[in-house]
Amino acid sequence: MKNILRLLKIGIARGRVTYRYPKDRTPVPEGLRGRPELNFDVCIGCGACVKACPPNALVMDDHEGTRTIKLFYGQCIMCGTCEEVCPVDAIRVFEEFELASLNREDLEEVLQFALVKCKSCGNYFTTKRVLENTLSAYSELVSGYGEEFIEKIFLCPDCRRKDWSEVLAEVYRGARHE
Amino acid sequence: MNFPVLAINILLAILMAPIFDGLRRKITARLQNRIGPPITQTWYDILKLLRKEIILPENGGFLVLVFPVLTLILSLTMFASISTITVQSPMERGGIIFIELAVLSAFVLAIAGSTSRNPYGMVGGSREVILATLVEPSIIVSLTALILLKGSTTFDDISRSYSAGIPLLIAVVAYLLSLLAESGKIPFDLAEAESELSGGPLIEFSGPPLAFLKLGQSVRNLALYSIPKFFMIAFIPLGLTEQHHSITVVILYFASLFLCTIVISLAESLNARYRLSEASKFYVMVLVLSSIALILSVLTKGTS
Amino acid sequence: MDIITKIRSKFPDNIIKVTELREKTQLMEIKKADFPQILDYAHNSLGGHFMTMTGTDYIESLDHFIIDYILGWYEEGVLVVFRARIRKGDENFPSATPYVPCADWYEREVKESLGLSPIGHPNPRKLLLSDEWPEDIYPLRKNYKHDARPPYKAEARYPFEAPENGKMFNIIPFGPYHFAIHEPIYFRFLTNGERIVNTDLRAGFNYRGLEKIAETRLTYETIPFMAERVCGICGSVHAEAYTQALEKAANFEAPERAKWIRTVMLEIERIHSHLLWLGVASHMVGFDSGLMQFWRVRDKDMFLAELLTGNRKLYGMIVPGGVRRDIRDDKKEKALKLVSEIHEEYEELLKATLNLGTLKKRLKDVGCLRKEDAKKYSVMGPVARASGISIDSRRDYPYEAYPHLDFESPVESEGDVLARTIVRAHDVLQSIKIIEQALESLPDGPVHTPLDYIPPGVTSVGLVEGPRGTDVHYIITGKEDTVYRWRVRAPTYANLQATPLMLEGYTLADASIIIGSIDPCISCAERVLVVDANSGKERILSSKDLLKR
Repeated sequence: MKNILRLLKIGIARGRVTYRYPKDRTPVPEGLRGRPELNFDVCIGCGACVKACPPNALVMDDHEGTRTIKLFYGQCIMCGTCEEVCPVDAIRVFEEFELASLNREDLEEVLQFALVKCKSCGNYFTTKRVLENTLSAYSELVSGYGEEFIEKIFLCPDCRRKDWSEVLAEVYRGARHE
Repeated sequence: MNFPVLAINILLAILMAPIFDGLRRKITARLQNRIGPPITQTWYDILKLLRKEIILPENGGFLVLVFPVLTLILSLTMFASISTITVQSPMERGGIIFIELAVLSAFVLAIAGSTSRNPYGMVGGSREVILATLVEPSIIVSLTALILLKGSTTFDDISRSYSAGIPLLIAVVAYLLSLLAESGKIPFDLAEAESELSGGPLIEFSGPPLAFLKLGQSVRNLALYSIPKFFMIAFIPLGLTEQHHSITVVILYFASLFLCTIVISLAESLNARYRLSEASKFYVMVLVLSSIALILSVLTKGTS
Repeated sequence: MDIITKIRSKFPDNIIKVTELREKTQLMEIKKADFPQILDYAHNSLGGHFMTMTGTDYIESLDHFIIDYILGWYEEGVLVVFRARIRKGDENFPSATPYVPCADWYEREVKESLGLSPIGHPNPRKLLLSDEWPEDIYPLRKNYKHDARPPYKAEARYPFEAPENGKMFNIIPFGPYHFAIHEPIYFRFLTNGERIVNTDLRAGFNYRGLEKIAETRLTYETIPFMAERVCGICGSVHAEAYTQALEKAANFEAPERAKWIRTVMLEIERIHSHLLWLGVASHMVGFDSGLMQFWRVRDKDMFLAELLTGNRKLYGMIVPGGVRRDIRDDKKEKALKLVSEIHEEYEELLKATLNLGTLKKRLKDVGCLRKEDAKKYSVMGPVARASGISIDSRRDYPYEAYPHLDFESPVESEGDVLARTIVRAHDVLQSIKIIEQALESLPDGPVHTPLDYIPPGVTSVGLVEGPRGTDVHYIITGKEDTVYRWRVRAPTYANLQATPLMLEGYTLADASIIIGSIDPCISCAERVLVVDANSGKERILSSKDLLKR
C-alpha cells in the first residue's frame, strides 16, 4: 500500500512530460547531428565525401564530361563523416531533423560539375574546380615555377605517372653519365 | 413502460458511455505524467472502426457479427431497467432484470472466445469463463443486498425505507470492489491481456464488429457505474421537495459515474496484472464481503 | 599459463602449436578430430565460458578452412582460441555439442553459412538462413558474391519438433508478430492447458548478412557505423568491441581522454538499455505505469546522449583511433547535472516500484534458471549474475578506463525473473556512479589519433560488457583496408539457448515475461545466425520430461 501511495505521488508531483507536438517543441541541444547540406558555391566536386559515406547516401557519376554528385537523405545516417573529410568545408551538418516529405524529390540534392580533359590522352579525369582549387591553394608554391610545370596539372594520373617516370629516367641517365 | 424515460436512458447511454471510457483513459494518463488522449478519443476509435472492412474467420464467421450486436442489445436493455438522470425508471421491478442482464452480458465475451478457433482466443475464452464464474456471484450478491435495503426492485428514486448505516456502507464497498474485479481493466484484465495473449477473446473481432463490441462493453460498464447513485441517495437528508429531488438526482448520477471512473483509473495505473491464482483470491474475498452485506441486509430488513 | 599447462598435461600429443596473440590471449592449434575431448575438458572440467565459434574460408589462398572455438576464463582474465584446419574436400568436423551443449547454434551456423558439417550434431536444422535458401549454396564462402541471388526454393517448410503421439497438446504460436516481443522471432509452445510443456523456436527473421557486407563492401573506418546498427539498443557496445579488436590487432592504444569518453558513452548506453528493459518488463506483466515512468527517466538519459554526441541513439562516437567528438567543459557541467537528476528520479521510482506487491508477485519464482544449467549453457550478463555466477567483462577483462574506476557487479542467487530485475536495477546505479567518476576526472589530451598501419592476417578478439552480457567480436584483418573475417557474437545468442529451460513448466501468462527477462535483442543475435532454441535442448532433457509444478 505504501508503494502505491509513492507511485501516486510520483504521478502527481512530476507533472506532465509529454507535450503537444508540433505546437510545442522541445529544445534540442547544440551540436545535434541533423541533415547535411551541400553548398554548391564552395564544393569542388572532389568526391571525398562520396568515398567516405558509409551507407552510400552520396553517390557520384561521371558521364560525358559532367560529374553528378547526388545526396539522398533517405539513406543518410547523419553520421557527419562527410563533414569531417571535406577539404573545403562545402558540406556541413545542420541541426534540422524534421525531414519528412510526401515527395521523394525533396529529399534529393543534385550537383553537377564540368569535367576537364587530360591534355595528353583526352580522357576526363577530374572537375575543373578541383584544379582551380589546387592552383589557388598552392599559389605561393607554384608561383616560383614556370608555365611548363603548371601545365602538368592538366594531365590525368596515368599520364602524369608516365610523364614523371620519363623525367626521372632522364635524370637518372644524366646522373649516371656524371 | 415509460417510453420517454426509456428514450432518455438509451440516448444517454450511447452518447455518454464512450465519453466516460475516454475520461478513464485521461485520468490514467495524467497519473502517468502524460497529457493523454482527449476525452472523446473512444468515440473517435469507434467511428474509425466502423469505416473499416469486415473480415470474418473461416469457420463460424457469422458469430463474429452476432456477439457484438448481442452485447450492445443486452447492455442497452440494462438501461431499460434503471433510472439515470430522471426520478422514474422505464419499467417496474427492473432490479431482477438488471442483475440477470449484468451476468449474461459478462458471459457473451467468454463464449465468443471459447468458440473461436484461434489458440489465443480459446485460452482467453477459457480464462474469461473461469473469471466470470468467480466474479458474477459477487455482483449478484451485492446488488441483491442493495435491493433488499432499498425495499423494492423498482429503480426509481422516490426514497423508500432506507436503512442508511453500516449494512449500506458494507454493501457499497462490496459493490465497488466487485465492479473493480469485473471491469476487465488492470489488475484484472488477464482474459484480454494484450501483452500476454494478443487480446484473448477479442482477437477475432476487427472493424465494425469490434466497434459494436467496444460500444456494448462501455455501455455495460456505464450501467454498472450507475448503481452507486442509489446507494448515495440514502445519505441525503429527507425533506426535499419534488423539484429539488430531480436536480439532486442528476447531480448524484454524474457523481456516481465519476466516482466509479476514478476508482477504476486509480486501480489501473497503480497495479500490475494479477495472475489467475491471485485474482481468484481477491474474488473470493469480495464474495465473502458481499455475502456479509447480504446477511446484514436480510437481518435488518427481515423479510420483504 | 595455467590453463594451457593443464590442457597440455592432459592431452600431450594432440596439440600442434600454441602461440600468444596478445598477453592473456592464446591461440592453440589442434587437429579437428580432437575438438570434442579438448573442448569438453576445457569447458566442463576447467570451467571455461564458451565465448564464440567461427569458421573462415581460406580455400582460395591456402586450400583449407579454419574453425575457431574461443573459450574464456573470467577469473583469470584469459582467452584461448582453439583452432583446427579443415582441408578442402573433407569439409566436416566432429561436433562438440554432445559434450558442450552451448556449442549447438554456432555449429549450425557454420554448417549453413560455410558448408562445414558438424558430425554427430543432434539437431542440424537451418539456423539463420531462410527455409527457401538452397541447400548447397554457402553465403559466407569467398567465392559467393555478396549481391548474388540464389534460386528460390519454393514450398519449403521448417521441420518443427512434432509432439509425441498419444499426448494431447495445444500448439500456441508466439510470434513472429506478437505484442510481447519487440522483434520477430517464432516460439512454438506446446501447452497442456496453461502450462508450457515444450518450446521450439525458429529465428532468422532479422538476418541481414552483415558479416558478408563488411568483408566485401566496407572498410575499417566504416565498419563501426555498421556495427552500431547491429542493434538499436546496444549499438555502441558493438562499435566498441570491433574497435577494441582492431586496435588490439594493430597493437594500438587510443589516447587516454578517448578511453574515458568511450567509457562514459558505454555507461550511458547501459543506463538507457536497462531502463528500457525495466519499462518493457513492467508492460509485459501489465504494469503500464511502470512502462511510462521508467521511460520518462530514460528520456533524460537520451537527452544526455544527445547533448554529448549529437544523437539520441546510434551515437557514432566510437571509431578506431579514439572518439569523434570531445566533451567541452560547459557540456560536462550540464551532463553532470543531468546525471544527478537521473539519479534522483530513478531512486524515487525504484523505491516505489520494486517492492510493489502486485509486481513482485508476477516476477518472483518465475522462469528459474539454476546455477548448473546457467554454467552448462554459458549464459552471460545479468542472466548469469542472477543465477549466482559472478562474471563481468569490465572487471575481468579490463578495457578502456575501467581499471581506474570503482564499481561493483551485483550478484543474486535465486535465478528467477525478480533476481534478474534486481541485478539490472542495481547495474543502473553502478553505471551512474561510473559516469560521475569518469566525467569528473577526465584526463586531458587529444581524443583521436589515426591508426597508420594494420598488419593483415592477424586474429584478434574484442570483449565488451554490454547491457545484456559479454559481446565478443572476432576479426581476422585483411588486405585492402578491410577485414578478412568479422564475427559478431552478441550475448543474446548465448542466452536464448537457455530460454527453453526457463520456460518449461510455467504458464502461458508467464511466457512473455520469461522470454523478456533475458532482455532479448534478437537483432544482435541474428546478424548471421539462426537460432534454434528448444529442439537442441530437447535432446538433452528427454522429451518426456513433463515437469508439473
